[in-house]
Amino acid sequence: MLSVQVITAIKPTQEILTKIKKKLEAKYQQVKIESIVDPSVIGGVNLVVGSDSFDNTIKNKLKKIQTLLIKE
Amino acid sequence: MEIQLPQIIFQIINFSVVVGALTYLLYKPIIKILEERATKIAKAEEAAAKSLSEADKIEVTKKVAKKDAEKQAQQIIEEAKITAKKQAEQIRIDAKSEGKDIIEKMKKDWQQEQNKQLKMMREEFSKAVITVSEKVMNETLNQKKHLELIDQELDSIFKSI
Repeated sequence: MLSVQVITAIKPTQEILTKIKKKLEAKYQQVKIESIVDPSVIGGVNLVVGSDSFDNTIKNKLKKIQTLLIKE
Repeated sequence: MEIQLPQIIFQIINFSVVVGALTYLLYKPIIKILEERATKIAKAEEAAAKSLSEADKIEVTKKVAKKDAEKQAQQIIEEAKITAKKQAEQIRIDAKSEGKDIIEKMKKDWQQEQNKQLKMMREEFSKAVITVSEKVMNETLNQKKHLELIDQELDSIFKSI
C-alpha cells in the first residue's frame, strides 16, 4: 500500500480527499491517505506520494519567486 | 860650397830616423786616439739616434694608448647611456604595468563590492516582498478560496503525474 500525505493550510474536505484517493488508486492501486494541516504553507497543497513530493503550496511558490529575485 | 855625399847620406838617414821615430811615437798614437774618438762619437750618435727612435716609438705608443683609452671611455659612456636608457624604459614599463594592475584590482574590488551590495539589496527586497505577500495571502484567503485553491492545485498535480 502506497502512503500519501496531503499537506494543506486548512483541513481539506472529505470530497477533496476522496478525489485524491480515486486519482491515485487509478495509477498506484491501493493508497493510504494521511492529511496534515500546516498553516505555514499559506495555501495550496503539497502531495507527498511515496518518495515523490508535488509541492504546489503558496509557500513553495513564494520561495521560488524569492530565489528568482535573488538570482536576478 | 862643395856637396859632400856622406853628409847628405847622413842627413837622409838622420831624417829617416826622426821620421820613423815620430811616426812610431807620435803619429800612430794620435791616429789611434782619433779613430777611437771617431768610433766613440759614432757610437754616441748611434745611441742618440736609437734613443730618439725609441722616444718616438714611446710617443706613438702613448698617443695610441691615449686614443684607445679615449675610445674605450667613450664606448663605456655610450654603453652606460644605453643601459640607463633601457633601465629607465623598463622602470617606466614596470610602473605603467603596476599602475594598470592597481587600477584593475580596484575596479575588480569595486565591482565585487557593488555585486555584494546589490545581492544584499535583492535579498532584503525579496524578503520584504515575500513577507508582504504572505500577509496579503493570509488575509485574502478564506475557507472557500482555500478549498478552491487546493482543488485547482490538485488538478495541476494530477496532470503532471
